[in-house]
Amino acid sequence: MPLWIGILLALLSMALVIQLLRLKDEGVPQRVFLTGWKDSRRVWLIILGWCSMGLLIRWLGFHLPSVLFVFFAVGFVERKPWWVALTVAVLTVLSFYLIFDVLLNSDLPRGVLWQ
Amino acid sequence: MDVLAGLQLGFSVALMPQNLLYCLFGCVLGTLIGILPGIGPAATLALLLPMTYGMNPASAMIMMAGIYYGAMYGGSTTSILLSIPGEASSVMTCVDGYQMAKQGKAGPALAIAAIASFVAGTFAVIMMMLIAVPLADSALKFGPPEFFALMLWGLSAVAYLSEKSLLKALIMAVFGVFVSTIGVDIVSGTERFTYDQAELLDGIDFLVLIVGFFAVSEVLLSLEQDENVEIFECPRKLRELMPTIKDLWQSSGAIARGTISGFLLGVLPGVGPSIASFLAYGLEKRFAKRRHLLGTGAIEGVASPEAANNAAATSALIPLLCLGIPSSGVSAIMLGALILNNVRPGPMLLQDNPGLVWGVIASMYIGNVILLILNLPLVPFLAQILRIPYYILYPIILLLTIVGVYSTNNSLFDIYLLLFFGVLGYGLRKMDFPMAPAILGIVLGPRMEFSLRQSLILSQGSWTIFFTEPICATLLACLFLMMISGYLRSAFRWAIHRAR
Repeated sequence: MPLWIGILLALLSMALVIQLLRLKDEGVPQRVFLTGWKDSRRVWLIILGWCSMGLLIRWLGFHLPSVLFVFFAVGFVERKPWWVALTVAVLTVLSFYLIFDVLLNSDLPRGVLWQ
Repeated sequence: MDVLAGLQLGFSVALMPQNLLYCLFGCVLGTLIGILPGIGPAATLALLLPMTYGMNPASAMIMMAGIYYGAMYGGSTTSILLSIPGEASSVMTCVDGYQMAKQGKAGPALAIAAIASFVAGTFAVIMMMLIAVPLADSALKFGPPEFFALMLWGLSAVAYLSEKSLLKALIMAVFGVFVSTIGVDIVSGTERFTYDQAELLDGIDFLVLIVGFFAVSEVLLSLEQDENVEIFECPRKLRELMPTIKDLWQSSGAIARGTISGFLLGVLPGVGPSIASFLAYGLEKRFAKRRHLLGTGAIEGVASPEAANNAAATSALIPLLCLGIPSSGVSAIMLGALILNNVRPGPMLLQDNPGLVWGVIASMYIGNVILLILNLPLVPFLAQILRIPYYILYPIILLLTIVGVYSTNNSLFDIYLLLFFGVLGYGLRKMDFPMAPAILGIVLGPRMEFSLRQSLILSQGSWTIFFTEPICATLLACLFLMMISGYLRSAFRWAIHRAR
């Protein structure tokens, strides 16, 4: 079955490429993935911050990278005052700690450095 | 089990205190999600899916169903007050709803939206109740070839009826099935696409794909928008909210048309509440007595799409509950909740778990009443949630995605997969690739493959089994007709053109 799935995927992808090339020749406007930095600044910065946070979890655990991420999102990306960003970050992660670690007894990652 | 006995069982399950609480929680959360632009019921269900692990399956389904149809009620609030649809299914409500708000009739608009939703939702639940038993009985005649054909038809229909490009929808469906093949083959024990990674031996959890493709991508896409709009003050007094007798009379025809069209369209795989609401509005433009007023603040323009989206949201659950086949991304997520809790979904679901199916149906009656009560006097207070800045909400949502995915298997690898699928999902959605076919693909893929292999074992390797079994052959013929219908239409038009 994986072989047939792979062949089908390849055929459909080729058909899509041909269709898009034909539409381009006819002058039909196409979706643009990379729009200007002004339009997509927020998205790419948040992707960068969120992915960095996800990768740091292994070493630092869940809570510290989360504080850093929320502070980055609110303070740097959204350009709010530093004290607003810090308050939101600390309150958010504190709420997560109380709800998940304390109330629900979830085992959120502790990180290699803290073990 | 007949309908009355089933309903009695259903109410005995739905009226248990914990299930009433879950229903209330689901309805309130669904309404709030509907009010909030930037996050939809699919993303919310994706976020909550990991939390349902370990829950009673009936309770989980009652809560998720409450969120789904609750969001249909709540979506009209921002459409009317802000001209921003809370959900895709509330887009058409913006057209006349916002105009009514500008004319000082926000209260009656909100009330008619709630009343239309209640009437349509209740009608759809009654129809679901009447159809459930005969549909499930017919499914008892299904064997492995029929299961395979039905799932293939459902998966293809979601792709074919997608609003986006057909090729892109098919690619996503096949991609979903491909991801489901990763891991160890249960029949032969061969490792497939594991690249010697121990973490991939069990395959990729569908939860990761669902959360990444729905929740994360939705948040990232919403970050591209940054609008300042005028928000109308929501009337607080009940007197100001109530429609007049004239409003009720004028909207009655629209409610009826929207309800029936929404119910019939919602059952079809891939159609869903948003398409149903568009088509219902189109019907109003054709058949309403005051159709010349549509677009200028006509109450029919609010009543019809709201009735349609609620009826469609309810009827979309019929294939899931009666046949065990999801017909949309949202019902695929609900199917995921059943799988997580070791319930085997399929045509035997009603026979094997009557309490669950009838409990969900009965809870929908209760849920519609709760939502009518919530949305009439309480919506001015619920609408205050719009004042929470989005820059506080979206980091919380992104943190929740990580917590949700990690808490299922306690695996850091799942977090890395989430990062990958989240960014991939954003990119794909930006290029107009629909997500629902991929979710259906990964959820249905293992079962499709299992049914295919069972069928070939039964027929000792002969493919003719799919054409000699009558139900299977009929389903495959419907699928074939659906695939060529576009070409048939073009050929027909060309033939007429040539004849002229």
